[in-house]
Amino acid sequence: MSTPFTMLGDADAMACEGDSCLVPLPLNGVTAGDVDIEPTHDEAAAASARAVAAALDEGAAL
Amino acid sequence: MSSAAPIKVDIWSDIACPWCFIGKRKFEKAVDAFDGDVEVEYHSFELSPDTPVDFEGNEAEFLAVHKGIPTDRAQGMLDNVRGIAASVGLAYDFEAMHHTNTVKAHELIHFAKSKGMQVDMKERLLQAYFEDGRHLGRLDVLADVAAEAGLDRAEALAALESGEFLPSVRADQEQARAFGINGVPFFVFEGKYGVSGAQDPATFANVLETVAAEAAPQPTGAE
Repeated sequence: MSTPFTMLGDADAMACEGDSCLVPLPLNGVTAGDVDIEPTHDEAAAASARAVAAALDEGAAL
Repeated sequence: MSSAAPIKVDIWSDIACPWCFIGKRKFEKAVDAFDGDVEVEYHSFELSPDTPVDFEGNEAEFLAVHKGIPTDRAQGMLDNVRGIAASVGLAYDFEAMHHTNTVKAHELIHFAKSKGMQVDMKERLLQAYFEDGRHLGRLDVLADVAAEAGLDRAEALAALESGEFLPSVRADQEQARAFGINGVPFFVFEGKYGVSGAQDPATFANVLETVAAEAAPQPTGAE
């Protein structure tokens, strides 16, 4: 994210982006990448969830 | 309390954002411990503007249907968030929650702002959504919340029905886009420092102290 502000604080603090703020949360030691994303009738939403999970695996945090 | 000018903090958030309520509590803890005045202004941010007003089912079922997350996994994630919320004194009730579109709730926040009650309304709506399971997509419920805050119910309802404050919501969202704000909560201190997410109180406290130190009169030289 590029903003005109000097960013302070923990870059990994929990926040919401889109409607995916709950999806990628680590759970009992299980990371987002471990969550099985089942096929759904809303494939676009599932693709979005997979993208978020992949981003988390690369170190991003929501 | 200080004689210095209050520190202005602009906060972008959504009433349907669990981390916004948790972050609010953590921010407030820092403000309570801060030796100075802080002026807060909330700004609208819709996390999911295409969310329908009505969704039959609880939050776990919403995640299952719209995200393809197995229901038991979704429930576990919600339990995790519930536990973090509880750690800051919040009692999230995801079973009772009504997942809904939040644009009208944002309009109500701007209506309350016009009456000098924005901060109070923000708190009431977050509590109504996460703890009380109230349906904040429905105008009659929002009007009830307005009345409970001491505002004129009929005036609030008329404002919501006419969309009088929708331009104010859109202006906040446009400002967020211009600032490159993609996620919430997002805090801006004195228009200079940005803080993203539900940070620990110590982080907010450090930022407040930094801003206050910069605003303090500098020594004019050796005597």
